[in-house]
Amino acid sequence: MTVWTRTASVDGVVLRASDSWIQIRPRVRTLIGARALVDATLATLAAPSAIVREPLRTLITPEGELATVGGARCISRGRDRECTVVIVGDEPALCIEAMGEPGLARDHALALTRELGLGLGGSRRRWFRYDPPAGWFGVRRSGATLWFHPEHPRVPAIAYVFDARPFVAGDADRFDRFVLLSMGDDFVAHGTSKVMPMRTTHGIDGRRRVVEGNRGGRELVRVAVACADDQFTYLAHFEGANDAALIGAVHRMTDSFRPLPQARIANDAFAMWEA
Amino acid sequence: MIETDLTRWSRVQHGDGSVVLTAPIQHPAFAANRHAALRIRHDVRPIATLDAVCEELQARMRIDRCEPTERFVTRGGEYGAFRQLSVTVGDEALTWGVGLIAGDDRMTIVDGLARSPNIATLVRDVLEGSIPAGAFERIRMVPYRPPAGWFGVRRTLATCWLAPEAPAVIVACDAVPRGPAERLHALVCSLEIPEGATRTPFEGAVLSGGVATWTVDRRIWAVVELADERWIVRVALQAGDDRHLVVLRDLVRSIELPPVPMSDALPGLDLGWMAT
Repeated sequence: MTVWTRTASVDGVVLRASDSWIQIRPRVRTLIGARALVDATLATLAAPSAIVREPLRTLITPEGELATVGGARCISRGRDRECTVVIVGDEPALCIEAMGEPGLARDHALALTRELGLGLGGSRRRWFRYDPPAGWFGVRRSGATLWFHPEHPRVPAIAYVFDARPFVAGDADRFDRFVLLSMGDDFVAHGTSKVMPMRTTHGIDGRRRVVEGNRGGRELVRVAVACADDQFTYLAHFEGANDAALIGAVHRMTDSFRPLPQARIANDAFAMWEA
Repeated sequence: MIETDLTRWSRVQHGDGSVVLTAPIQHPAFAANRHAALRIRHDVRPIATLDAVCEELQARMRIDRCEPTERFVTRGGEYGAFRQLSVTVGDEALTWGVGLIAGDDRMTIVDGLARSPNIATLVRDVLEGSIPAGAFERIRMVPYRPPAGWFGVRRTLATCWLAPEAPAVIVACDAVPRGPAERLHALVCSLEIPEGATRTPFEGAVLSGGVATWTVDRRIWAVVELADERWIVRVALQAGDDRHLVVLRDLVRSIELPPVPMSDALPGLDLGWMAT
């Protein structure tokens, strides 16, 4: 049986065994996606001696949080080592880094991922998975990710993908939608908008609204997508040039929206209280 | 009662993420006084006291009068603080309402400036009813009365209070909802109680539980563990002598549980947010 010592660090805890260590940081803030964060952390841990990089994987924790797992083999002090990085959740994320013997480090990290809860509750605004338009530049803002066309501003095209919101519409949500989700009010629409039902390739139903108009003498089109499952609403909007290729890229992105997983806490997370 | 529907207010979003809303000319509460502006900043870090927030924002104002700070709980179950001030900007006497909602490591700040004192009511109403809250069942800070004169340092999932005159520290852990997050909390906020510790029930706290005390190298250790069916709270002390046990006891007895949300949330899917 491995004996682990535990040391508090500035932002979490470090567990050490004879030739392994695991660092757990429960409140990591990031403005980049989980996959990029795993890549960056792995590059730091394994560099410059990474010899094999495993493809990134996505897991769902018992809490219903999305976790991204990455691993690499490296040479450290002349020995063959394995390092694994797991990012659970988003803002803030739980970060688990493990370094040890090949096979064991990964097992330890995955066991901790299954056992540890993020403790942020399921009914908060959360990031969700989708495929952004290829080549577009993403910028993280409060409660949303903005995707700029590669040639923006020469090509006017910005897509907003908002964090998934718990499926409620109380005062707070209505107000938040007004402050952060509503589009600028100097857009003059040409006629009424077209509303079409839609279903993403992963089965979320919703509606897509498209309207053409003018802003500051420039002819533009607006697309707003709102779809929902029984937990969350998934919202996005786009304003840009009335170009079929641009609108097609936005439609492909919104069609790729994937539903957030449900918590499976009832299955095993309360097992410790049943003893 | 001030109308909190801000849909007709003009809106500018700034690069720092703040949104500034300006009242329409015909607004019944502000029309006679011509101008009112509201500024909302989400996700401001780190959290600060309302004093510090006001100090940062008041650079170009002269404070003429400051009402006492009012503490409140939002309908979403978050803690907030609000203050109304009379200020002079240039030669103009204005009312300034400033408030914040404190999350665990971020806050939302709302402030409003107008000739009409109605702006203070509006800020207060917006804070109380219209700012989205985090999930109720998260690991979260709870209010308590810290020991007078002790110095607080925020740590991961806990706040450490350092005694001013003696080497003593109280670690007040955040409240943890029962469930998987407790394992993470126990790992990061390690409070292992040795077998030989003296265990006694703890009386007078909002939750039931007990206190374990032991001595290592003539230093007193004490851990209070309180729980109900929803929450677990732990507070620990390490001190040179047992007079600090009284300080620990007073702190623990002042702990309050997180408030229950009172949102009037209704299910529904509304596409009306797309303003065209």
